[in-house]
Amino acid sequence: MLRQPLTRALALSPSRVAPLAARKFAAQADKVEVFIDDKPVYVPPGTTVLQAAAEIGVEIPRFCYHERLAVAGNCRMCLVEVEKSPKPVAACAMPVMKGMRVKTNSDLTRKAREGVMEFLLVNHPLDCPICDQGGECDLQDQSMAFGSDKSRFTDIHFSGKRAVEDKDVGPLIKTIMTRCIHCTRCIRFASEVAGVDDFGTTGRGTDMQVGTYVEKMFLSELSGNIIDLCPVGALTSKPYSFAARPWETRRVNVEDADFVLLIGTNVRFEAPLLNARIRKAFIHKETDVALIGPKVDLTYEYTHVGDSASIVKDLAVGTSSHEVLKRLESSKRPVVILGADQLKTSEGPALLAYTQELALRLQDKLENKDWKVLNVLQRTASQVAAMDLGYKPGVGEMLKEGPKVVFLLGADAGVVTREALPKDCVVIYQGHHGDAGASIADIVLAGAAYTEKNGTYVNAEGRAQQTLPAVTPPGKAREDWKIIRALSEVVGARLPYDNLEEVRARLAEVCPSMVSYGDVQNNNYFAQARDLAQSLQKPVSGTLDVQLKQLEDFFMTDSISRASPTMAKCVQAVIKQKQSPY
Amino acid sequence: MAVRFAGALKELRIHLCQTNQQSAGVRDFIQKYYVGLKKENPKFPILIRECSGVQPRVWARYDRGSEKSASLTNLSSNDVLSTIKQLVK
Repeated sequence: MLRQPLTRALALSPSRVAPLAARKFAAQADKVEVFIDDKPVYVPPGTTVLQAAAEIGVEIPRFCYHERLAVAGNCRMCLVEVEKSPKPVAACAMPVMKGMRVKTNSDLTRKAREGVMEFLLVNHPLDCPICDQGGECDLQDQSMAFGSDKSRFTDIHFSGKRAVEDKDVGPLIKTIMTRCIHCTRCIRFASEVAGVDDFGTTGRGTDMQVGTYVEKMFLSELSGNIIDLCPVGALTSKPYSFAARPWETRRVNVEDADFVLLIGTNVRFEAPLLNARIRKAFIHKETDVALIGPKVDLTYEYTHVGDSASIVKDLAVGTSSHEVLKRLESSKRPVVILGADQLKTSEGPALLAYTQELALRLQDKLENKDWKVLNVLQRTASQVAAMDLGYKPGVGEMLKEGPKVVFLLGADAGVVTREALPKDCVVIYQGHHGDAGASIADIVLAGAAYTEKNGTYVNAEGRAQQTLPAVTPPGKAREDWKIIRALSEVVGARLPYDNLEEVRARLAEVCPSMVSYGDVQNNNYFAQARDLAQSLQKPVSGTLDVQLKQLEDFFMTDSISRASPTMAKCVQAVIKQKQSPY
Repeated sequence: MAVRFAGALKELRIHLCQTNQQSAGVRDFIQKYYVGLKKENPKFPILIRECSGVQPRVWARYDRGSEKSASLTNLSSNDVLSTIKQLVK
């Protein structure tokens, strides 16, 4: 097994991690003059050509090079022409020399890139349409920018494309090793950052494989990071596979924030991708994070302010003595994220009122009036839209009245229980996968799952999106609106729509923004909401709790994942791993 | 200006555009009257739905899902209020 020796990383580090101050005050004579595309640039000796080019804003394409990892120099994508050099050189590994003239856009450079790209693509499957990396794939982007416009690959008719068996490295990371381009970033991350020397390469040439040689789990709390590190779709997120495209989840404004306050939410499991964005901001932009709620592992450091709801009140009225208040007030781009689960409790309205107050008070102080401070993080895909339609969260009031009939529309969270209902109450359940809701029902109406129907979803930023059926629902299951339409006829109050267009026309009567697909609507009237919220500001005494605390909880969040054998396996794998003495 | 929403009326929905000139009166109405109305009827659902490019309109839902609506295009804020009062009856 090969791995990058640590000494190599250390040997390289002085030039890369030399304190900035030392560099700044070094005499000009210590610096080397090099020319990138005929533009002179002064850099300390030992700097690589790639870094020198970055200094003046010339970006050289790369796959294996990562600024936080040791240099490998094996992908060859960063080849550039250097005058008086007979061959193109790898910019990421080549130190600068005095008077060096680098051409990053010459014919030779471009030909070299096209050649490297062609070799990479010869061994890469053409499965971009079903690849979860699509949209943030370096290979995809760079083949568009630097690749050739034609292919000479014909072997598909004879022996087919190179294929590699997938590895099992645990429940978090999904491997599709055929997509691997052998950049070795994951190997270097595991050995240098995570301190786990399990990864390496075996074989050579077309038989080269990245893996653990004997099948084993990548046992590291940082294991999930190699998903982000992988420039292609070889390592993707297992729990998140096929859930969404990257550009759909790039929401709100956390990446530009300089301070993030989380209230009553475990973003790591409630919105894993949002959490990854916060983590990115934390690492690369020095964004600080504070959390009010139970102490959970978010994969990055944060200030834990406490778990009592009264902290939110103290922050909102400005009486808190905690340093977080000062940090929030001095922040230029603060973001407050409130977990929507908190709104369901009896103190929910008051908590929302205080959070609104806090957010608006911060907003008033900002120079940039367009910056959105307040974000309410919804747990489930349809929650935003349900609110838009006028649905009120919480079932407490309804239960108090002692209902005779309860109609559960895919309600599987176990909020309504048989014990809480009158004995003669008839429970009707409409949904799929037969979970908690179906088990207490007297009548079950088989609905369609999200893959089986035409749907409208509103995402967390308020963008309406439509989905189309991919498969037909099994057995006698029907699209949800059809069931309700049929029911209405049976009870003698026929609903006035017979097809999807008419349903959507009705949707427009209820909430017009829900049929303007793809658009985000600006929301105004925060001042009015604040005036109203003030009357709701009552003392709060409860503590904030979240449902998902451990990794085991994360794999089973809705009726589909609870019914999924894969997710059950994940839970078992994690529990087994925790019990394992190794 | 006290308006009580009670009896058969179950829900009010006000649709408007954020920028459009035809919705200017409705935007004014929300600035001036919404907070007062909501405070007098704290439990009554008044749904304000902004959508770029729509013609302003108010929808009233009564018992058993029967609905009435009225256009608010180019109305002043006071006209909007009186239109809503008409629907309450």
